[in-house]
Amino acid sequence: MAGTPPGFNANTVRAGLRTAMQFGEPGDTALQPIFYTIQSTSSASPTDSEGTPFDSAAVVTAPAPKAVQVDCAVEYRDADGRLDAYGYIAASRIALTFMDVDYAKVRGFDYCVINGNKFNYRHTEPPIGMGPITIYTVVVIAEDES
Amino acid sequence: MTYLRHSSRHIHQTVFKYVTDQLTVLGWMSTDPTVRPFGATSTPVLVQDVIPRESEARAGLKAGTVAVTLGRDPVSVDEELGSGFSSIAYPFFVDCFETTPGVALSLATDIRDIFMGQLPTSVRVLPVLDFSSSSAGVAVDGWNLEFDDIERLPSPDLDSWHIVHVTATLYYPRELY
Repeated sequence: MAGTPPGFNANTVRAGLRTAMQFGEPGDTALQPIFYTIQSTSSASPTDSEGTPFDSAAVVTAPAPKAVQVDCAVEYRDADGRLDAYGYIAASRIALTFMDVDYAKVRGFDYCVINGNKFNYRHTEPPIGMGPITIYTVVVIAEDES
Repeated sequence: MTYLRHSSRHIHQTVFKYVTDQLTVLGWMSTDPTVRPFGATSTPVLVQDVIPRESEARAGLKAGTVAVTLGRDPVSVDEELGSGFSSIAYPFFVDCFETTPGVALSLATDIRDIFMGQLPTSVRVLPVLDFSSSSAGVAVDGWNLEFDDIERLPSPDLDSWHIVHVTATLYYPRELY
């Protein structure tokens, strides 16, 4: 790839980045981010485009969200419960940084859970490169925090 | 007297279906540029009934989006003393986002005229449909929507985004006691 120094070993660099990420993760895997992708629901009754039926007694098949854990860097951006105009309280956000090989496993996730708190997907920043390695940063926003 | 449970949802879906059907008749949904208005520059319309979850899979606002949003549920008004005939004036907002300001304004104007009953298949009074058992909806006896207070507003954020506001007044029979 143009611009990549000769001798650059992407696998070695990835391994180094992974070591750094794992060093920053809590030792208890239950406290590490878990990424969830909501699965499609189905019903024999008419539904709206999100799969909610109009008949409150309708039977809906709702598979559990798909859960995946991968290594990533977690940067917490606390909004300090700041009150903005009209009483809106700015929610905390987290920036999650992934290597390409890990992001491929969670891409399209709907929310993540970290230490029991749910953070909804907000947006993906333009990716950056480290030679042949692509780095993705995804911002998630707290639904509520304990 | 007919009672319709979760009526606000059925009313929203009734208006959503009406807008979708009318835009289909006008060709806005067509993938054929010879059928779709301003086919060379417009994008086929997709009408949204609910605000989708934020997801990379559904990245960003796309040209051709028409979103039908129901505002608040105002208080019910007794139309005639003791008759059990009432009305509720529901505010609806139809957001339109297209490829260019001209196309967006044309689409929004068509939507305005749909609610004004100006187009051949459009109406000002619509029966409320119950979608519990049929995706096409079944008319609810005695429940009707009348469209009024129709206005189009440009969005302050984007040139190619317009909002049509309409009041859909529900007239329905209600048990008073």
